[in-house]
Amino acid sequence: MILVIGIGSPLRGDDGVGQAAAYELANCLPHTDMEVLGVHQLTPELVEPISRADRVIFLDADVRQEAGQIVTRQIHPLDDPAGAFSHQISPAALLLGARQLYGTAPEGYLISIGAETFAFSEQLSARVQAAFPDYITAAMNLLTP
Amino acid sequence: MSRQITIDPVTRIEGHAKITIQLDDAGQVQDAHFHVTQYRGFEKFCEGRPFHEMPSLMARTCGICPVSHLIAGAKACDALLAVRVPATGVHLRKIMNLAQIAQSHALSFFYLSAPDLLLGMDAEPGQRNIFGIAAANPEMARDGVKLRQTGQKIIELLGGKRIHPNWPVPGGVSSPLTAEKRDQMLAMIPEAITITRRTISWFTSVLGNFQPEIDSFANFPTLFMGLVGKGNTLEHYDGPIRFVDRDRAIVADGLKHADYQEYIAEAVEPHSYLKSPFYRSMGYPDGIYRVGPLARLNLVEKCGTPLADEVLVAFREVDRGSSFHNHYARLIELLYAWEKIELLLNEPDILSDHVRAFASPNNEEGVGISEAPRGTLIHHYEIDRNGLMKRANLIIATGHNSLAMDRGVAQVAKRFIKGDQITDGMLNRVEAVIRTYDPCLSCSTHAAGHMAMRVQVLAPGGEVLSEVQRG
Repeated sequence: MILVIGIGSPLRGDDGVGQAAAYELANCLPHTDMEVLGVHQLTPELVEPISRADRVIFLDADVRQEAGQIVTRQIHPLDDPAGAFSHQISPAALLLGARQLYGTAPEGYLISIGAETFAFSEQLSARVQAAFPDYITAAMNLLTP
Repeated sequence: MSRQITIDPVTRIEGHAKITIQLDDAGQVQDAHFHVTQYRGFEKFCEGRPFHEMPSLMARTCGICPVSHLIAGAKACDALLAVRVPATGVHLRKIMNLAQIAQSHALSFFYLSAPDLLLGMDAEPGQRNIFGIAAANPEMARDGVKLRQTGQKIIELLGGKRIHPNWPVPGGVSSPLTAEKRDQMLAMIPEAITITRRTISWFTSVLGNFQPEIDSFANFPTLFMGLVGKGNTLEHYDGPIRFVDRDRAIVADGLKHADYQEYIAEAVEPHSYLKSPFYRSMGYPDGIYRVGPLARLNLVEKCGTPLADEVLVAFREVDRGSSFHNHYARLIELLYAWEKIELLLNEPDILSDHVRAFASPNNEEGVGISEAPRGTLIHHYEIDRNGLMKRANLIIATGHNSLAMDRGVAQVAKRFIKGDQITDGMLNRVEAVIRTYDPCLSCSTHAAGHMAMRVQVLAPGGEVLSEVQRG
């Protein structure tokens, strides 16, 4: 099973792109062995569904990248989750949690897309909207284990 | 020359705060304060909105306990409509409220407080988190994950989503329960009960290790306040308000929700955005009272479910005045919540489609009170003839505990901090007393902003002698 986790708030402009992409994948590929979760933030209890997956794909906006720029990177269980808290947990820390608690951590990927605005809006900015099809394609490329 | 310590931000709580500790010339703690430094103004910006939007608007106050605000907000709207919610609607709201309490209690105990309880107050700070728990006791970490998931799943099954489900509405709930979802929920309860009982056994086995904390974590006489159910049992949804003293003697009973301003007044302290409610007839600050799990168990004779009542017997032997025992009470309420959810799901009318009453506004004022995980939650709305909000007043559980938290910080600081050499274990204990209340500061100040924790030791003249910064 492939687990897709879209991260962010759909009410804060480009921050909602992760959830939007996750649900778009679910609509495009209803018969794929895929589970889709849309979350506002990463929380510790996600380690359980992550532990059941063969691969986990995190989709998130990133303010450090140029708007619309797409970056795919493999992530590995974080060795030192110091500072992790219920409000602030990284994908790598969740992979570590899955391994610590359930003995297995799946292959993990983070596909980030550069964001332009996090202002109150249910719309993506023009540049992120323009890159959205490529963002979906980047995720689809990882849907085959 | 006196000195001051500032802890800014206070960690592993919901929201942001700081603590200042004033030392005297001899390096002894003279005074201490808990400051909530955020402000959001939810009560103000809802003015002019249609009243029926209030439950979902006010739910945005908090991402941890949106359900509690939905419930209290919907009840305030029920009062505006002057409707009687159908019995099934009440049962379903109660189930969601209890699931909210369960998931929040699991978060508080396993994610926020268990690092201190399992690893010790003096453990390496980098280890005092859920991953430290996972490394030291994977079963406990899995248990925490499972219990939180169970509460969240029940909320999701009822309301369609885990956070901000717009399902409790004025007059009831928006849709009935299906047999399939009821059975899914019932199937989860036995494991949740097993885990909770295991956790209570573990907690009681280590309780003796924390006698200094039990003695000093806000261990002083105050009143306790909350709802009381029929038969003198735990109640989280409705029922009259009761105040008891430290000895559990009743001070006031049978108080009506709509009259809350007759027995509760609110003071403001210059050092915090958190209001300080007090029991009006005893004045300020003598009318200090506490709400939440410990208060609720102190108010009643029994829980009202068999397994929770079994563990309540041993709980009655502990020092009921120590806020450290909020942890213990939280676990008992967790057990009660699973049992009560199961009972409610087995009500014969639980699948009825009569779940909502409809009406236009019939009153210009409405008060809704329920028990949130952290204590009694009050929503008070006033509307005009067009149903638009004229005024709102919210008193949040954490606000009720404001005075007790402030005094608790001073008590624990005096016990554990000596001079300007501050160890992390000392600071952690000062934070931990706040953590026993599981405060939700975003809720209680209706606040915005960000605050990490800083502890400063200040000399009598105000210069900083020592400082620790986190976040």
